[in-house]
Amino acid sequence: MNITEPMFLALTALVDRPRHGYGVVQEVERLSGGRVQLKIGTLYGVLDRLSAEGLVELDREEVQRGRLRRYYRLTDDGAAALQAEAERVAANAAVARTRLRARHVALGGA
Amino acid sequence: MNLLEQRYRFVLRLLPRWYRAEREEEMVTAYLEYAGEPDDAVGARPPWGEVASIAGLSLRLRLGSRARVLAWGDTVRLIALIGLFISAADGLSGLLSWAAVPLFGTDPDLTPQTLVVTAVSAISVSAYVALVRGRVLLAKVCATGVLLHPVAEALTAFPAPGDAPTPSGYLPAIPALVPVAALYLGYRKGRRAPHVPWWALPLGAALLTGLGLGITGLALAGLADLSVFQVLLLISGSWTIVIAIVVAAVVCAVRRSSAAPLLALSVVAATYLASLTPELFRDSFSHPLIVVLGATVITTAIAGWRRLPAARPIEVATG
Repeated sequence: MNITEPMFLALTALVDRPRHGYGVVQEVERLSGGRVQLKIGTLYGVLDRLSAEGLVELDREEVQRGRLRRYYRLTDDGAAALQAEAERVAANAAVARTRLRARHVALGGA
Repeated sequence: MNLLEQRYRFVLRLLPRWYRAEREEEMVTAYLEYAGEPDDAVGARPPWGEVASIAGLSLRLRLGSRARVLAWGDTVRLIALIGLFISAADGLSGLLSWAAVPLFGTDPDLTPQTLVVTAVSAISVSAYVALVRGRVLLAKVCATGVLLHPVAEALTAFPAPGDAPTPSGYLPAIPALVPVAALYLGYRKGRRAPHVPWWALPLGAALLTGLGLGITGLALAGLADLSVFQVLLLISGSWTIVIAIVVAAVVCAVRRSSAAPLLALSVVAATYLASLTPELFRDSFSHPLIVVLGATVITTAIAGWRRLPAARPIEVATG
């Protein structure tokens, strides 16, 4: 499964505790330093795909002032998928950093 | 309910009904929390970015899951393959019959019309062979060339003065048109057609030829008068093709094949049904054929639809 950046951030947002829809939007914005602001349609597209793959699941429902909130939690499979993706991204980042360092050295030596 | 909520619910109507039944309340809550739920909502409306995200979600849900999209792609490619196969079997049968004419003690007819038909038959065989061998561009060129023939026939089917072509005059060309359209839609360069055993084409052609020659033999032996012979010869090809489609549909149903073959057979059968519609008003000879075809179209469509992968990419968990 190809994990896009919004999916990656949504999974990360659910690591510490279950969150409801808007809670995920807020946390993703915070985690990305304000760079990623999920639209509601995008959020639910992401949640659909993650739940279809068994990476997140419903934790509980709450009704507050007549408004329905559904909280989602990370599953064990979700945690494993996030771990694998984080390692992949980290490995790619490490390769990029190594090459960039070599480039700086080469340019500095030129 | 404030104006912003009303407007957001209106935007959510872009989504399929079944999805709204599961998600609407939760999405409204999330959106109003996001928007800050203003007290004075007059003039407030969901921004275009928000509307676009709902439209995108709607499109994805309506197209269905990736597996479903793939199944529709397979269906389109099978329509092209089956259509080109029938055309090739018919063409090869024509070539065989033409070559067999001397067997009946007469010289082959060498009028320009016969030569055109012979050339078209050869090109239709080439189109099919090119497709199964992965030569998509060649298949498209040949199939388009073959297509000109039935279209020209449909256009010239009204030789009598005052007989204006009506829309129904184009119906006989549909079984040829639809597979070629599917060929252009479903195949890009390098895309392989599903595997077909090499003997399928000779077998199909032999079946059609055997039938045609058998009927001709009957006529020449004086066992059928000329009018009956003409009717038999006219319908023999259609009957054989329709029976082959029905048999293939039954085999697919019994073997519990996937959705694509059933849906493709349904579409191909529908094209023949459309082409035979004018016969409904001409004589009752074709009525059984039309009934069988109609039943095949409906049953294969229903069976194929039910075997499509789930349209819903998710099961919205509710507890």
